[in-house]
Amino acid sequence: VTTASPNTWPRPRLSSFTLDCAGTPVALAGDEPWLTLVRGEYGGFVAPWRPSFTIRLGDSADDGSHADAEVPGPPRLADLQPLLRQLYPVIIDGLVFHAAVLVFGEDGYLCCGHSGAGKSTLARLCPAALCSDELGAVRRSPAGLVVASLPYYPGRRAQARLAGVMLLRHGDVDERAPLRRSEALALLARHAFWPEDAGKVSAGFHLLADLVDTIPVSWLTFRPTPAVARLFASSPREAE
Amino acid sequence: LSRYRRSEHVAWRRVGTETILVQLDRKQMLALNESGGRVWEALEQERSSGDLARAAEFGASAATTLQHVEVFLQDLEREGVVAAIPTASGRSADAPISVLADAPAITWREKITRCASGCGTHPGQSDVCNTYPYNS
Repeated sequence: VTTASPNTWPRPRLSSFTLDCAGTPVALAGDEPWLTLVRGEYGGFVAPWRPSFTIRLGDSADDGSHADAEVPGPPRLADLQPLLRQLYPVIIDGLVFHAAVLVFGEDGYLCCGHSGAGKSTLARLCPAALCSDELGAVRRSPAGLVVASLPYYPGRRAQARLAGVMLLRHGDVDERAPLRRSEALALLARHAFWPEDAGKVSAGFHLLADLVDTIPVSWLTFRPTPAVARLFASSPREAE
Repeated sequence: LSRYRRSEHVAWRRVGTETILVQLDRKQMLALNESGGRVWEALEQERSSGDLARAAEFGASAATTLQHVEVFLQDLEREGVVAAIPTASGRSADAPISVLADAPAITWREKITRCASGCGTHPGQSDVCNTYPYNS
């Protein structure tokens, strides 16, 4: 009679689900406490796709299957989120921004701002349009530039024609003020997560230059009322 | 006169009236004003500073233009976006000059980083953020 050692006992494969990360399918695989946590946070981004990248969460259910990245330890979003920030610029075919993504009808808007500038306030005032209030990506498509939401905080998967970019700042009036193109490029560069790879930096730079050439970029100041949504309807001319 | 050529690993675009360069190794953007952009475009091939001064065209005398263009090229060399090619006659010395409004110049610099500024999460704040995300 032979008995398999514990190391060779078959273990169940990890449970997983796949997220739409601005068009890149990323699987989260792990033990149930982790999956319960991330399903609750990122359920709005689940996509029925075959993953191209896998993150293994936790260490109790490691079945030896392939993972591209790991977040060991007990379920804590604070451990996963920094990895996502580092990962997105590497794996996404586009440029990742610290920004809220709002979609009104078929028009998508990227709203960039430092922590405290008003991204979450804006998101709260436009709940129906909100797709992400922390991270978004701009990508090329055959029809032009598109903006997509990214899982970080709760939100929903969305991709829409990029109709405008807003740089948020505090103010006492609802106002959208256009920016010169080179100024817009410099400011938006600060809100991007740049990859390390020089080729991707070059691609991101050209994407950003195309963005400021073709998409209105404005300062947005607003009072905390739902009337702010009206500022997304018009596209002011560029100040050049 | 010194001769110059563009460095490798520089991406660039005209944006409005300015020309924006990215030094891909240093991860830095530079913006050049209009006459600076003309000098940059003339650098499509290796050129002497005299050739480049003719491209700058900002309304000063030939001698003044040459002086400003040489200082500008030395600025670009320090930023790593052009390389000076040694010549037998050596390089002209740096000379303090008065700044003319339309002379070729770098108008702004912007460092590009892995972490968006103000994102609230920077390397050093957690172990995960300090590590490259791929498994080796």
